[in-house]
Amino acid sequence: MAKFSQTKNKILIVLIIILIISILSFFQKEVKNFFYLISSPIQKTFWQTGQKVSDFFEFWVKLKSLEEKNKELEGKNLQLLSEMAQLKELKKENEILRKALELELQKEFKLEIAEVISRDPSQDFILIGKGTKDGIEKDMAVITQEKALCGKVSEVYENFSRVMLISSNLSSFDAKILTPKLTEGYTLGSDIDIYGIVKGKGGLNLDLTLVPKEKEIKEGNLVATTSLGGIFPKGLLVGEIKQVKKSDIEPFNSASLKPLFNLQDLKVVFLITNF
Amino acid sequence: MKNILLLILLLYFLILFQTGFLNFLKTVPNFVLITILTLAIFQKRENFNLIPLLFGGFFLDIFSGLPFSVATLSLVLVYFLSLFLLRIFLKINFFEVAIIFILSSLLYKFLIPSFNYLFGLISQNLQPWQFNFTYLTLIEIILNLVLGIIVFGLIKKYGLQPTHHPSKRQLQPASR
Repeated sequence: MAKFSQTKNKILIVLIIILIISILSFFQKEVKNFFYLISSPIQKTFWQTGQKVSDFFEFWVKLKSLEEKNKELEGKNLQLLSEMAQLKELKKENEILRKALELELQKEFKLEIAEVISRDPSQDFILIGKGTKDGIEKDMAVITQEKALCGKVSEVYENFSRVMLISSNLSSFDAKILTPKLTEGYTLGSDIDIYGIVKGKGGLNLDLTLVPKEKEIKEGNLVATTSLGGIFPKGLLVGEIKQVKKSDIEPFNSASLKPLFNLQDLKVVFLITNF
Repeated sequence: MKNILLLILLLYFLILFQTGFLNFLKTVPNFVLITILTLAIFQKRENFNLIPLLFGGFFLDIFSGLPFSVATLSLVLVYFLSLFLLRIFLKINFFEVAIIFILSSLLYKFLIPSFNYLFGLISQNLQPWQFNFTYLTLIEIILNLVLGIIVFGLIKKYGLQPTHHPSKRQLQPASR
């Protein structure tokens, strides 16, 4: 009899808790916002301390290769300086031509800065410290200081927003592969149009799929957004081709991409509120 | 009651640590899962675990981008799997604990996209079912296993013994 009553109590407790969770799920935005609000000071401290620890270890690990990289960068710097001089000339020429043709200059994005608060346990989401109160809306593009695409807003709370990184399993969008002519030489000219789909693989990994077989893509090529999906403005850098995967059986080529944002260095991100 | 409150606070701290401090790692161990499995292994009264279990799931739900209660349900099922395994094993040693941690971590990783898909079906916001067993999944399982074994060893060293929940068959005397 006592055992029956004990089982009954257990079932009752479980039912009550399931009921509470079900009720809470109706107010999940408010509940989540409340918890983020009370946790954000601790989470910010954790995030900053974690970054310091990471920087400390990274410094010792990378110390050896630093000297080599420095020499390589010095060489690249010289090359870039000469290209910059060339570009300045071209820019002048371009401005004159634009004026002459009465073309509208490209409008800059309207940006909103937000602090990164935490990373999700499912790993490809981040929480940022701006929400509906600051005019943030779902599907807004999120970029880094260097204008590299991080992801898009997937959920908005009053004071916070959840950002789905482009590496999330649920993320997929159209992209354009920038040909060497544009990416390596930084010279103006008509590049060949190669389009593909960027798909998140989880764990900060990206894949470029559905690349036509007849178009040649190479390691090191940069990939940028197009305006096809309507979510991201065109021209945002997405990643660099790490490895090209060619298969005789598959109708398309694919490649693995290296995202251009580094989660460890992300302290702040920018939301494109208007483009 | 005091112990339950302390456990809830510990789970809250662990989830903040997991989502905040360990941001520089590509994959992180699931501290909540490790805590819940350790509780299942050492705790004598099963109903005592229920509240920390549900709070653990609740915190995972709060700090994840998944629909509410996906993590809670997954954690509850994983907890019951661990109890089932504890009933099967004749003794609970490092090998048995390793099996519990590996199978539970795998099941948890499988249940999360499954419930996410199911909830998407119900709410008519269909999400693709994606369970990718990558090297990162493997690393996460290994991290859970290593940390679980360390915690198990430490608790055992300080005098607590794992609880064996024998099944009825195991309790019956051997018939000739």
